[in-house]
Amino acid sequence: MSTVTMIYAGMFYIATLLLVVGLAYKIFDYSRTPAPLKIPTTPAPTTQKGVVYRMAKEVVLFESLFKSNKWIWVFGYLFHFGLFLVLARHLRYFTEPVWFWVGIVQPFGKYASIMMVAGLAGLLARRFLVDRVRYISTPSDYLMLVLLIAIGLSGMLMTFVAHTDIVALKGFFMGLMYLDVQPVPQDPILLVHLALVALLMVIFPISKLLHAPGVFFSPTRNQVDNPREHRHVAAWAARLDQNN
Amino acid sequence: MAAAEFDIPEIKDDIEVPRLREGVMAHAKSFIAGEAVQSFMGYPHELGEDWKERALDKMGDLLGKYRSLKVFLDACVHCGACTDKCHYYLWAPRIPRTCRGRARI
Repeated sequence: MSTVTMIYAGMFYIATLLLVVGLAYKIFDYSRTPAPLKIPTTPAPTTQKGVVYRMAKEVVLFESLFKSNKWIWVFGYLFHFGLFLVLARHLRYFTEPVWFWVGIVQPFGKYASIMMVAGLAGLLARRFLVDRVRYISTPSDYLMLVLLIAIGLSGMLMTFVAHTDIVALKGFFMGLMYLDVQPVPQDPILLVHLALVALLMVIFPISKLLHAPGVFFSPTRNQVDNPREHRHVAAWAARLDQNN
Repeated sequence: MAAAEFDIPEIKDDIEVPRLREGVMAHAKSFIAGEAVQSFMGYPHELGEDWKERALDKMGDLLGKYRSLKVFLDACVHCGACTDKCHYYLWAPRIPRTCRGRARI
């Protein structure tokens, strides 16, 4: 086994571990932190079913962003929907036999990469062109966009320009999953693509990418608007009540 | 007593988002309560040496009590969609005193 294979195998084991443990910790941390105030933004659903419907609209369509800012919505949606299709397509490298619907999504996933990179480019352009957005942008905002664009472009290069040994790559990842490490194809574009993905996995649980799990824990979105029917008191607030 | 002069933006049908003007509030100072009031409330009159530690402690305390604060500080993607409808921003277009600017601290 070559050094490169060992480095990449170790890198992906560590990155996966950090991603899973980091996300699990963050989700545990969110769920144990009390939400003492009833603050669903109105108009808010008054039933639990309504909350599920609202959350689904928020996650699938980015409803509140659409109402708030059309440009960010267009670019953000292009990127996220493109990313979704691209990720779905990538499942073929991790499943044997390839699932039926993953087979169907292949051509869409291929061209969705263009959508994804176009969306990212739009979001990046906003950070330069809109003065107030430029002001609030931090280095990590740029880093995240550049990182995702680099991942997208390196992937597109392999899809449309210089193919890599995809059969061997699938062997490498299947090997990682079954703890039987196979050699990784030593193609520079592929190695860059994989390293950037591993980096993205590592920074996911400590960055603003936490908006993915975070949206489900947002009290302004996941609460039922029923403060009159059921009094809402967090444990620490109830203790204050008793002391008075 | 002469009425203070305010530069009040005209309200129109469509919101006109002003361009960022840094330092537009540079002349503003905080309104400090009188000695008697501060003593009565038990306030320290001046910024203490350990203000940073105390602020961080309070922040940690609040983060443990409010899921909203914790999640929103983690999940904010700095998209800027809040800035153009922020009434603080529309009134005086600078970021540090908007909610977004305060969150950044």
